[in-house]
Amino acid sequence: MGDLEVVEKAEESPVQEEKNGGETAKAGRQGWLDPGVEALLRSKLLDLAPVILALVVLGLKLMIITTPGPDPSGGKGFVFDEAHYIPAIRQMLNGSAANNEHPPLSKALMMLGVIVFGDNPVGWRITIVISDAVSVALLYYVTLELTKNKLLACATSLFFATDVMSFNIGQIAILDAPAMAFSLGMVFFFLRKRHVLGSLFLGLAFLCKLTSIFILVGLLAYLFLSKPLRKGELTKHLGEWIEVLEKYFFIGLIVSMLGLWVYDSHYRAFNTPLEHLDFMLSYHSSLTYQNASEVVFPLPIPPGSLTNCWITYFAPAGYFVTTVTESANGQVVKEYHPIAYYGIYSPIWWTIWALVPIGLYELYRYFRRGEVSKVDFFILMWVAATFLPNVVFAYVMHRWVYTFYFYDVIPALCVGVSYYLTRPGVPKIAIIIVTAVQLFWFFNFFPVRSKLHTDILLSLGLRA
Amino acid sequence: MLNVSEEGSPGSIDRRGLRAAIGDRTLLEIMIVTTAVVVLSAIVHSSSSQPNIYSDITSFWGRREVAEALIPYVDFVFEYPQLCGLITYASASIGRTPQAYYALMSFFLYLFTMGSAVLTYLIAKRSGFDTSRIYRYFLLAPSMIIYLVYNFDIINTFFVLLALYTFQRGKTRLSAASIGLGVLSKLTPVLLIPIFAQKLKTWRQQLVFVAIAVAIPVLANAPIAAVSFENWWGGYKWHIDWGLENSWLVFLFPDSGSWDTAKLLSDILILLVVARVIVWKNDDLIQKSFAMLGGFLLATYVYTPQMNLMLFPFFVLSSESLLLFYPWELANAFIILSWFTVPTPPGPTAAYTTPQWSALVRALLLLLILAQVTKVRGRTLLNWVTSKW
Repeated sequence: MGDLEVVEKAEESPVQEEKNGGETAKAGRQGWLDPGVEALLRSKLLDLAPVILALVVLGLKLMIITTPGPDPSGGKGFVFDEAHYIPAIRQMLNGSAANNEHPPLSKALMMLGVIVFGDNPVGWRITIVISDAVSVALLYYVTLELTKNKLLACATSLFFATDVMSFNIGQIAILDAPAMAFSLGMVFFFLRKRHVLGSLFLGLAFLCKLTSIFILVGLLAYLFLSKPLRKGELTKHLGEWIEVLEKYFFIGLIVSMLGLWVYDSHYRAFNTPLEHLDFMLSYHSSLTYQNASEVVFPLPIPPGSLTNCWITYFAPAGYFVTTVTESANGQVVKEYHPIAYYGIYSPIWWTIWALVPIGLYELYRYFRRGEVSKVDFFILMWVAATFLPNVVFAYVMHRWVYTFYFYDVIPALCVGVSYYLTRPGVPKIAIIIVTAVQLFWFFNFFPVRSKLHTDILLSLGLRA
Repeated sequence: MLNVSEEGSPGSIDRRGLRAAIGDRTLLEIMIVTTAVVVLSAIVHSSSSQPNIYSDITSFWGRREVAEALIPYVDFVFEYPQLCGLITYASASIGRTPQAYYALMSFFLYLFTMGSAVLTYLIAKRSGFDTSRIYRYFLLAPSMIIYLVYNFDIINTFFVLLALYTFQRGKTRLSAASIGLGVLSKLTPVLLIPIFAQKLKTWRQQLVFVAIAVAIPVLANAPIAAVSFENWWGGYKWHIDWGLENSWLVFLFPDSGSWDTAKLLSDILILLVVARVIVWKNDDLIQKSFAMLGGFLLATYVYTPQMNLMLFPFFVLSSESLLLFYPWELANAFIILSWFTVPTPPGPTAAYTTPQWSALVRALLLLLILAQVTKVRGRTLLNWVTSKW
């Protein structure tokens, strides 16, 4: 994990002009429909929003799915940790166990892609890309379940879809996107109190990535806080809470162990799935760093710093970057990066600085006055459960942590930003500005750039 | 039902009851049988008997530090709590010979066994249970012969019973002290603190109860830790480092290299048991204690066969006809009877060996027994799964 593959290419290409296809922007007209019909249409449109968003995301992803790919010069075309997982799935397709340090479901999904589409970028990435699009839709439904506000749910989904890290992680053949999709499935059913289904999804998420369990921890904490602490009712509340916990623990464990058992018995990898689990836990505990200066830390405290921290600033990690240099008469005219998969934050990440204090204040009110603020608790507990373990890993266990681990935190921040920006009294311009900034950031760091895209970035004086 | 009694004058533990009990013919019979059981157990474990059944107590003498009557925890690591160390030290330093040591150890255990039998009888009588169950579910159980003069578990049983009895009589502080003393013979009574405290009405009473139950083991440990931290901590570390023993988990984790995760799973299961029993809507402290200790035995990664002794009184103090008791007990007895038949490697703690198959059967039977005691039926489980899909 965490190995960087940076491919640099120097190509000279003639300057080409591309014209925009002459699309005419259609300005929306207001007031030409009956207000009732307009409201109905708006509502229907919002109902369709998750599907539309997911399809747009899917479309964008399919457009660039083949890039990068193997090239005649011998480049394998692997982005970031694809360098681990694609050889692993090839080995698994040949009947050998591989990459046992991670659970197998995400890799099984990648294998499915390879079986259907062949051993090529489409085959490697198709199920990942679909998982990410599904996550975009699921986050809408999760937010809707939590807030009952379609516009808010839409904004949340959009923020997640356009977070650069989320987009990139959900574009390449690594484990995280399916884990997120199953986790969001779990969250959705959890909020609907369909705990058996939720725990099935937990089992599947755990079979993709072990850290999926952290989201459940956040949900359980949220569930506990979702009712006021009243004298004499604590035992009853605790009893209901434990019943939910038991369901997720036992059913989730059974589902995930069954999955591991299928893998282990097929590949004869381990005697029992629990021994496999032990191997994974031991392996991950052993990934400790020696030199703290090589690590980007979750918090801006020593040995991290303000300029080397997940939630302030860190240098973008080049997961796969190609460089094109155009020259004329021996002079470099311009340099740009048609493929630029960066591990980088988006502005949404910084909102953690506001959302956590607000959540803590609400928590204080809960313990002081018994006031329940469900959405705040949901955000705070999700953030705490997915972020704090990394703090422990990095600072206490001295284990390697990577900026893309923040991927699990992002959905909660997206919920938080849209929740606060759509609250009564907050001017609508605020969410418009934030959305615009987010979209611009996404545009700036979109990983595969067309000529037009590059020219726009260059014309704006940005690094293309 | 065991409830805090409103009656009884402060400072007395049912003196009238005790006086009446002394003249009680049934109790006298129980005491005679108890004496016979302890004597029989002492004989079958004595190294003078040929053949004899293994006993931890006789094996302690093989340790140079015990035979030389050095002070446990101070001069050497002793892996049992302080009351056990005290009895061992007293037996060794007074006895000085293996025979005398063994006789003294047996005598101490006899006292606690007698105390346990009497307390079980008193609680059963007061709570309206059939006192003849003491024979069926306690004194005549195979483990009473095979695992009595074997280890210190009966001491723990005694203090748990004393805690229940005193609690029943309204002497809650004495009850808390009994739990604290129980912890000094085995750590498991710690699990009972929350469910005992739950029965008390005010926060203040609960706080006092917890404080007393915790203070006793802390006060007993603190000076020893201060004098010889290494040897004191060594006893606890010994348990932390110990692997799986007679737990069904060994079939899921046959490779001893994976036992850290097995222990983690065991710890999680124990926490779930504790939480589940705490929130169990049942006012009966005896049933709750049964469920707590039984659930612990199911979840723990070390379920040595002598631990069965801690549950016997609860079988007595039940209105259920617990027919699975004897199969459960036989499976338990078979663990030690087959223990030394397994060559090393793989050793008797390895999965798929006869002792471990016996332990697995024992665990399944205990699960069924606990389901019966807690009235969990198949339908309950189905409801658990299907409610709020």
